[in-house]
Amino acid sequence: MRRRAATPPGRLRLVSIGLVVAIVLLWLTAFATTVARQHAVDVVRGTAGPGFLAAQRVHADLSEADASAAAAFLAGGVEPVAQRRAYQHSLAQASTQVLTLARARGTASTQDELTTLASQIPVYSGLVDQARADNRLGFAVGGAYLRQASTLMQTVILPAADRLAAAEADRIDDGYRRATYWWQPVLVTLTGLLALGGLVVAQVVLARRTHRYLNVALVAATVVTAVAFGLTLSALSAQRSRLLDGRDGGFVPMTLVAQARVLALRAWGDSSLSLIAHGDGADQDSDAIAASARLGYDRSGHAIGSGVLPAAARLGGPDAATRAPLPGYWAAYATTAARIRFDAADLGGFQNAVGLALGDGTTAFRRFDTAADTALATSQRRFDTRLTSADDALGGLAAEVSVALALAVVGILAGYQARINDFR
Amino acid sequence: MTRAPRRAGLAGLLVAVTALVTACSTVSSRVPAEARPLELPTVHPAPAPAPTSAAPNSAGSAPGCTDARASWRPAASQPAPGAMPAGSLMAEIVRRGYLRVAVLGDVPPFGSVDALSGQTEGFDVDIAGEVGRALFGSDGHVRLRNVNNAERIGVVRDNQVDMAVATMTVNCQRRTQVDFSSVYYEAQQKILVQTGSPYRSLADLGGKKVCAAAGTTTIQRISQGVGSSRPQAYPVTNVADCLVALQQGKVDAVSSDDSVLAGMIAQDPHLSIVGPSLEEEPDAIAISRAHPEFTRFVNGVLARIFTDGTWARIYTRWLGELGPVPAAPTPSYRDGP
Repeated sequence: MRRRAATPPGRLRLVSIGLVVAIVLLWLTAFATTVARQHAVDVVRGTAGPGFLAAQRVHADLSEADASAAAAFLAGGVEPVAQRRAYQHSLAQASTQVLTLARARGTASTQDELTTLASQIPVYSGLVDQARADNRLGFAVGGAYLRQASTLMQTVILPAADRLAAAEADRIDDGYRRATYWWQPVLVTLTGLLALGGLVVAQVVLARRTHRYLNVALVAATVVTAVAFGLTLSALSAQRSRLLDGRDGGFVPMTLVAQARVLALRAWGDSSLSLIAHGDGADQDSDAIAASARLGYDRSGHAIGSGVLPAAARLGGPDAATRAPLPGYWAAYATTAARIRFDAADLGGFQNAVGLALGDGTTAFRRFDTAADTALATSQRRFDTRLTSADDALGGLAAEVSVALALAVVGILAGYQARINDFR
Repeated sequence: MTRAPRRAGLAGLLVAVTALVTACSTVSSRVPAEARPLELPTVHPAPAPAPTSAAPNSAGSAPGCTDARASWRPAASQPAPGAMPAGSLMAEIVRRGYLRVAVLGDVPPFGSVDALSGQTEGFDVDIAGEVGRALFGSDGHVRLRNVNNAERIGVVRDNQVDMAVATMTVNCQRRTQVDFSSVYYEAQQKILVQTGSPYRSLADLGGKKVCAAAGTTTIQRISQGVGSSRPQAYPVTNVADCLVALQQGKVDAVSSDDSVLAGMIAQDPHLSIVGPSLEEEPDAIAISRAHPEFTRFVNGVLARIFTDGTWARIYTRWLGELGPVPAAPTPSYRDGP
């Protein structure tokens, strides 16, 4: 080493090796960052995101099934075919989703939740069918069976779906973090500046020593390095901003609307169960009022300013229009629900209450539910497309950077070889 | 390089690094607080055995209550429809246009909502109808409110209804809270088990779970047990929940009025009523203590229907399957205000 450094060609060789090391460092950080981020986005897009969506869908479908079962029961011994179909459809969808979730993933953390869902959904449907059979025969005990089924749904099955969704949401959060660590672009910048600075300084020194001002190979290496460096930084920045877009325009509205829908279904189901309880509906009524308050509306349907629906309305973003009608629709339903409760508690008003629940109440609720479903689907699509484009931002980057920096290395070695040859 | 430019350069570098780090800060994607699952208070009461408050026999009884069945003697001449004494509750009810009555909603054959018509009907509802007809001279003036067992006393005391006809057992403790009409139905507390089970009476059910509605005299009787046998009381909100618990094998027996149990057998032929009567449970109409004149009026109506065949007709309609119509209850009266 020392002997090499003693001669001019040896010094040149050492400098060239130093530059190559700097380029390799840049390549390592850029390559590793790209691959790690791509993997993280893939996890969000490929497993955690779909898992979260599926868990949310299971939750919504089961809530829908429970509310539909109650509404069908309320209609009397001969339940409306449409309500029965809605119940069966929702339950079948939920079971299919659970199966998909179970097939897709083997993580131990959500195994218990999946087991609960898979084992309790048949128990639930058994209780609903027992209630239905009793109701068909005109037996008062049917209402008690339906209450038990709904209790199982609300206290065992739905919380399991909640925990499942929470686990997937944590994975999404984790994926987002790993796809956007702040120190990755900082490292790329530092190694990039080191490599470019080294190249510039080396060329200036070389020019002074040899009085040859242009070494084409070294200039080419500098340009190629700068391009690779710029490409990497801009791709990382594009990927990050698309992920941000996906979060603010997709993920956040999606979670809010999904929660709004679940709360709404709960309030609606409670309203039916309260009527089915024939005078023992105080618990269900207060539960419905609490769910509506969480949505942002008081017991008589007036907005209270905070809650899930106001939060969803404040979000803005590209899909704000799909969420805009939700508060109005819910206020309309909540007003009807208040009238139903009033009539049910009123003397002789029970029949009116049931008529109102099956008529205006159901219509108003369906309007909200359909709008919420549309808003949810829109946000879910946006989330997915943003994740895909975030992934695309890094597509091919690793290969491009590798090729570019390999060329830079060739340029450096060739440029210095020419000068070393001058000494022979 | 002088000191000032160096410091400026340093500051510039600092700004650049800060900008870089901010522009690429790690992005977190947590579920917003509003979208977290809602932890609402558990609404559906778990039917876990819990001691019922206000045990009917442990609390004090109305002063001078020696015969819980004795109710105010009816007036010598019953007011005719349209001629209610001024200032009485009857006059107020007639002016209002309807009689407010609390009934049970899921206890056939006394009060239950018919699955087809959606109307509440039963023995208790027909008794209430007789009082309404005596007040107004025509049908259609009774407004029903469905309540559960635990709510019965409260709605009468708070004047939310004029009376409760809801298989309420008369006793001295309850008399401190509400007034009772004369007894309109003599119920017997009995035990319902699966047909073919080894249990023949409460004495066989020591340590076993026995279901009854919370807020009833029945649940106390179960806890007391018989001799050394101490069954576990299993209280539920609605007596219909007992039938579910029995069908699912969560309890070994259900205890209630024999006629309520007969209503359960009508819904499930694999059940049988066993054993001797645990307690007589005379049922009467609960009325506010503030209106003895109304209690007297109701007693007048009851006395009439006991003798003119109306009571027997109602019995046949709802309880005919239990066997031949028994003699109507014999009213017991006391004199007072």
